[in-house]
Amino acid sequence: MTIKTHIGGILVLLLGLSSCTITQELDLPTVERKLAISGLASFGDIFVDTAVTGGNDLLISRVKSYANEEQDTIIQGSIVVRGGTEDITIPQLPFKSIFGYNYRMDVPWIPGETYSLEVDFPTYPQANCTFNVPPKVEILNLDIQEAISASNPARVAFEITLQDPEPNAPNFFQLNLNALHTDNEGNTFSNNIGWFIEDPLIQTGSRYVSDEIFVNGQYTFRQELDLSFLPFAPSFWQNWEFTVQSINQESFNYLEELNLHTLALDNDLFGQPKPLPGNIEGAEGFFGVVVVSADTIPWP
Amino acid sequence: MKQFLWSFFLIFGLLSPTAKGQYVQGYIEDADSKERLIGASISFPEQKFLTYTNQYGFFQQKLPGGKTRLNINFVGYEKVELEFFLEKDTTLLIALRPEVKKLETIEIIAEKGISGGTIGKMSLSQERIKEIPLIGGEADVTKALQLLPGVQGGTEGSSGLFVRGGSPDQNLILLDGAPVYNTAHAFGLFSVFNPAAIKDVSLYKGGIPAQYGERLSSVIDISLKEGNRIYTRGNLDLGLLGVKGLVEGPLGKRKTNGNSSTSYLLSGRRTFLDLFTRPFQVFSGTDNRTGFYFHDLSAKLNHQFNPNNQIFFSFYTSRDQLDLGNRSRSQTDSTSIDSRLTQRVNWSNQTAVLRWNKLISNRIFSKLSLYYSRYRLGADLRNRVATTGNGMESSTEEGSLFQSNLQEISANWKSSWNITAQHNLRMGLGIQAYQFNPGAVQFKTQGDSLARGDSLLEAPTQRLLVGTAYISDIFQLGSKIKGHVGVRLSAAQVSEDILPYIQPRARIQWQMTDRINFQAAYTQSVQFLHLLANSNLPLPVDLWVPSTERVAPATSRQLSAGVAGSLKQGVWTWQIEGFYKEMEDLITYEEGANFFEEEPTPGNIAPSSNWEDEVEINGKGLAYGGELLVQRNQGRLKGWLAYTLSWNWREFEGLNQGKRFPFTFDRRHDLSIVADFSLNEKRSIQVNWVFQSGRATTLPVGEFISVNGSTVQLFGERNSFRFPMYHRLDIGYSSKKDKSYGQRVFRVGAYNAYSRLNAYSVSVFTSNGEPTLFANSLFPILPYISIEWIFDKKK
Repeated sequence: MTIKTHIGGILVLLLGLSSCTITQELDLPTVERKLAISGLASFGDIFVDTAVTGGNDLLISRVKSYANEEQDTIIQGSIVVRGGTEDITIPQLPFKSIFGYNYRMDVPWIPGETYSLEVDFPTYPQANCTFNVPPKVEILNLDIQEAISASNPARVAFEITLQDPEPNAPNFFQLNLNALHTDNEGNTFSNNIGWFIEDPLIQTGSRYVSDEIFVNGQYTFRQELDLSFLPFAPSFWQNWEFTVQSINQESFNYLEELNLHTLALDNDLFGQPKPLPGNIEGAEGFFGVVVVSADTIPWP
Repeated sequence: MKQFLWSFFLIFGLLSPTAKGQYVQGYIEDADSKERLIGASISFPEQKFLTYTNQYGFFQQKLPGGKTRLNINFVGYEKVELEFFLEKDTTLLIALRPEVKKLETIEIIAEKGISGGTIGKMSLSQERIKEIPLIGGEADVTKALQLLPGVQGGTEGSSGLFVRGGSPDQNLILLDGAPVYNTAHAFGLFSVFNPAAIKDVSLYKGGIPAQYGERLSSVIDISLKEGNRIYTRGNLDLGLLGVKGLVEGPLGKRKTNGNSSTSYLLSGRRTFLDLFTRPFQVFSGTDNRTGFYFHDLSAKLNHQFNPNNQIFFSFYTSRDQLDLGNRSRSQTDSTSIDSRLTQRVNWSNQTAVLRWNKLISNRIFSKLSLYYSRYRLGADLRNRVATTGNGMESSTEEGSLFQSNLQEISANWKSSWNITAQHNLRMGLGIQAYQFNPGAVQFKTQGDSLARGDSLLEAPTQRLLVGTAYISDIFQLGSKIKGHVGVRLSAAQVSEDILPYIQPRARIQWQMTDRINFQAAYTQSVQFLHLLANSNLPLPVDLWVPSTERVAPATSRQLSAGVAGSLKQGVWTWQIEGFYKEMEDLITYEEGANFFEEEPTPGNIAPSSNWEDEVEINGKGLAYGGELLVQRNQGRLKGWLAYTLSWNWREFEGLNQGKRFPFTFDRRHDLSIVADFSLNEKRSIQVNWVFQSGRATTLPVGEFISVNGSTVQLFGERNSFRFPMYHRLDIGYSSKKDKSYGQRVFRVGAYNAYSRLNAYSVSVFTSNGEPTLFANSLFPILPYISIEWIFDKKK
């Protein structure tokens, strides 16, 4: 046989075999049918929006399966909070969104107490979790100092001293600073500054700080601010409001794991998938309580 | 077990016969090139002894004396039979002539004895490697090894080797005795070893001799050719992807027998895809720049002072580089902005080996070697923005750099001592010094200059010192039982501590009948290096890291047993083997490990600054299974069928809730069929067919909304999802034609001939609220064509 004959035979063989090509249709495994419960209830001096939508505190939805299957909707069931002075049944008046049902958790939480949340929705496994409400942090001192730079008289410094209510237990705090203006009709405008922690003992990167840095149960945080960054003239603003949100170790761990989970989804060259276990038995998700301390001082 | 092995060793030493006799020893070489031949078999039919030439073509056997007959066999060479009267120690120099008729050659891939060979060890000759059709027609050592039982590749096209449940870092890959740390060219499509320069490849996957160590799973010992000592020859191979060439020959004065004492070899290759695409990019006026190339270069110098002293120097270097660039300019009335984004990924290997082989006496052969090996990886991303206008100029620059550097320098002494006819004692000492520079660095804007900013992972230089010693007895008890038993001692200095490890090694082979033998082996190993590899990407973003106070050395224990045999006078050979391997103290990235993002930790302590904070430690591995190899060694149709049935598990306390899970490359079934059909003496057709169960991966299977409104993905159990099964057919045709200058070889063929869309990666994308699982395929059918010119006056 000549080379041409061989090559011709090979080409015919290739064409014939290429017709065998198939495209794989891939199916994902189905997910166990269960609820997803997400919430960080706000309690304390003021209400802060900690939850997923519109200030509601508990979102109940179903876990959405990626598998190509029919997925039913959920029907409302009962939600009961046990603990404290009495058991409380959450009223069946949720706001329904594209995500699921949002329930307002108007519960008179007692800081330091342990509670359980029981969720029983028809056709879904019963879900429950146990959690404790963190103690409320005490704001010992709140101060705003004069301009500290001659070249920039609009620069001011704030100091806030906190008292750790549980020096022997790990707790975590998120600090916030808001500029407030209340008009003649009683409407309040707020501009959130955040809290840019400049303390050398504390690294940036987390929304929360640990009470590990507290000395004898106390710590003073300091922040400098250039007022020219505020919208409107400084004279527009009347008060400064500080809030301190306390969460317990369990909530802190979940939020940090959630942060890593979200980062891992971006999947850079080195990112590894990060499963996110919650604290709810019988369902996915997490529930906890944020206790808020607040104080205001007038514009200097 | 340790006590048992020691007792076994001592008993053998005490009871071994000390019969008087004479030594027959010598070298076996190619008659044309004077190249020493590795693995040639020397059998003594009367005494029923069988031995092989070592890496330097040397053999030695003690015999009772008197009338002596020996047969010498080596693939592709004419058999030699010698008969003489042995009355004193005798040294032979035997030159084998290459066989003219290829159809009658015997192709050996498993080291065969009189009935099927040694299980756990396999060899591939250069000829065999060159005839296996693979991507682009490029002959490839590691891809050829992937076609053997118990050996798997990683992802499609990858050059990674996963041997009996191990990971690629658990393979000791030696090039002329120096370890090579990254074997991948072109992101794994090709191996870094140029087959033109390779003389022999041996793979040990079980019953690993005590002379090899510091890796858990296998040894791949690659020997470069020494260079022709009679005349200069070479070859040039032009393919679709690149060009490669080789030249070898004698140096200096010829001796009276026509040989030179010194020979050299030089080979290299380079891809030219970047050279082709660059002009198109320039002429098209695009501001996007893409370029990729790889090259490698091997050199070897060999000098023989006298028959008892020989010195080698070999050098190897390889480099891959990928460049991606984008430039954009925008202009307004008053300002212009010039933005440049450049990405460069490169990785390289260098090895240098100096070795002195010496025949000290009729009984003792020794070699002393020094080597240096270096692996470097860099992934550099820079973004520079220059703004001019309004009488001002400013520029900012930011970027990130990931680097992994590993250097090793070592001195080794090895010796082989024939104590009696039945006992060959092998021993050695070695010391290795390692230096690691793993690091990922983020750069920050600083005016017009670029300076190091937040260093999220910039580990300091880490060093590791390892000392080794081994002793092993290769024994023969009568004509039915042989094997080896030995022990290797490895000790590493980790911080202030010395960590010693005793690793027993044993193999026994029992000749059950003339055609069937039973073998069993035990191997215990330790590994002081770890490779951190991303579980999602096959890119070479790997970090080599040492054992530390926190990260213990990994260890393994493997027990294997099987039977081997032959049919029709060796036309067919077969092997069935089972293995059970346990591994401990493995490491891997922890879930959510991430070097370049800010990563707060509980307590709001500083973000992670060391690779040790990103890994799960104390992992366990378990692999077990069975392997079948059937070979046809003679006739017009040659080749083999290799099948592996195996299970492969991992277990880490911090992963998968502490439950064991399948390893990423746990494939239940792995089948390879390799066939070479000779149409005539010059033309042949080659076919490979590979079938594998799908590998394992972790995928999101659902989602819900979290407390902060972001989407949380639910993952199935770790590695619970299976890729679709993988199968592929490669076919090739080769034709040789003798020319006045030597020979021309024409090759044509196709990788993945029926264009099976094998899944390279799978991922979930959500479009219009509907998640879909996509499987991405890398290679459809890839035809190839190449021409090789062999400049060889003897051809």
